[in-house]
Amino acid sequence: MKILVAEDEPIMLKTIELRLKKDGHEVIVTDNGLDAMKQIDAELPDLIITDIMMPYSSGLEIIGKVRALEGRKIPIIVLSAMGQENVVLEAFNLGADDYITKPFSPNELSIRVKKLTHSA
Amino acid sequence: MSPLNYFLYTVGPFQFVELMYLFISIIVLVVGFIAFYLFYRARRTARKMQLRLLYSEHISMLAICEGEQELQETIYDIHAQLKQQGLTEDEQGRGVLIKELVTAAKSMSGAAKENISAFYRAAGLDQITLSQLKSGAWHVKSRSIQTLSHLGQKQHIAKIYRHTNNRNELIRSEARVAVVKLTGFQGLRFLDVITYPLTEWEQLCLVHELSENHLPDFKHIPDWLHSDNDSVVEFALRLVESYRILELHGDVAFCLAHGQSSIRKKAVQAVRSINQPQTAPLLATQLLREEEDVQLVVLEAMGEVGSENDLAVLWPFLAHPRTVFKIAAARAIRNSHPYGMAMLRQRVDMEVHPWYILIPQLEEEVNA
Repeated sequence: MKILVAEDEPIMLKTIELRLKKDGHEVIVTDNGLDAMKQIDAELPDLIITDIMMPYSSGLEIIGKVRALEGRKIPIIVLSAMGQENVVLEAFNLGADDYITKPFSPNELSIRVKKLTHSA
Repeated sequence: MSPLNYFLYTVGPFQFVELMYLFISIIVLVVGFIAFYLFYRARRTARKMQLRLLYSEHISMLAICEGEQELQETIYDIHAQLKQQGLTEDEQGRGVLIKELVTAAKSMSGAAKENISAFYRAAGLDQITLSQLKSGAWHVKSRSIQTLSHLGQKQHIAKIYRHTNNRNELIRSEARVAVVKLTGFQGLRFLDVITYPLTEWEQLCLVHELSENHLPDFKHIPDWLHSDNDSVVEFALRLVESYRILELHGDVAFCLAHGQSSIRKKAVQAVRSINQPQTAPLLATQLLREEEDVQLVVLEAMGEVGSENDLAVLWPFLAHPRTVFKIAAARAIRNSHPYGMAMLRQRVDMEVHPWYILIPQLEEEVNA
């Protein structure tokens, strides 16, 4: 499965990438929202994991763009910091499928990805 | 004669040229120093970025380790690589590594966080942080306390604990939050001995830390409610309120007679949160003997827990000169009796300010 990960914190990005690769997924990574938008068009990922606060373009804009695309529905998992409940609600309103709050366990993320990919 | 003219008359042309050379040399030296400093800083920043990238790879490997054997092998590999690259003895390298480990530990939880802490200990980085803890600079000390707590270094708790009553507010604040982060309610034993106060911000941080996966242990709270340190009493009341500790009703009631009005206000809020049959009469008695600013808090509490037996103490407040008291008393009366609203309408003159506004507002609150 091809997964796009958009996260601006290098350690988190690398950890998520390695964890998902360990699970056998193909992973595309980006550290900013603008590049994530380009990667969505170019790579057509099967699942997107995006941070909310990112340079150039936020996670919410990415969700908005993906949901505006016609055709298949790409599952989206949102990464948010503690205390961003309002933003998470907005993400769900825009069409996010799941969310995970930082600090989080990479193992938990892996399970959530499995769950979403099985139900998709 | 002006100083400039005096200078021009007394300095000859040759001396003037010499002085010019001196100025030019100074300017060249200053510009050279700035250029060298900027170059040095850019090189240091570039190296820092390079190190961050390298460490993020290592830390991520650690974070995804599953099982003790894989973790030990990864720790060994990373340590060997760092040694080979000469980074174990490099001061800047170690500093960046500790910072990156803290960043990762703050963003991760569960096994990933434990793996990162295990590496920090195995690499002997905790000893570097402990040496920084002995520093005379408050910011270095505070940062080292933060590092130890974020990386879950429980084995060094005694060294952090001794700073919980440090004369520097920022150091003791970090230490207090750190011991609670590491050991939960057990860490609160510093409340038995501290002489410096707990600030409002510290209290909020401590309650926040306690709410995160720490099993509650309330056995010391009665002692803190009787502490000589007012801020400790305030914090203990905050705990009673947050955790709704019904068993401590008697101890909280004792605080209603405290000398400080701020403590009595907190005690009223706490006793309201652990409402029991004796709470309403207790508040009614308190209302009669309190000063104005506490009376308002008591009236608000009676709006939640008051009973019809307490109406007699509430009626006089409808004639209070301040509207805010009128509202609080009216709300308490409305909530204390099934016919409270009807009784209010009979008692007040609906044509008079502020009742012609307040009564419809109170009725609307019931309907909402």
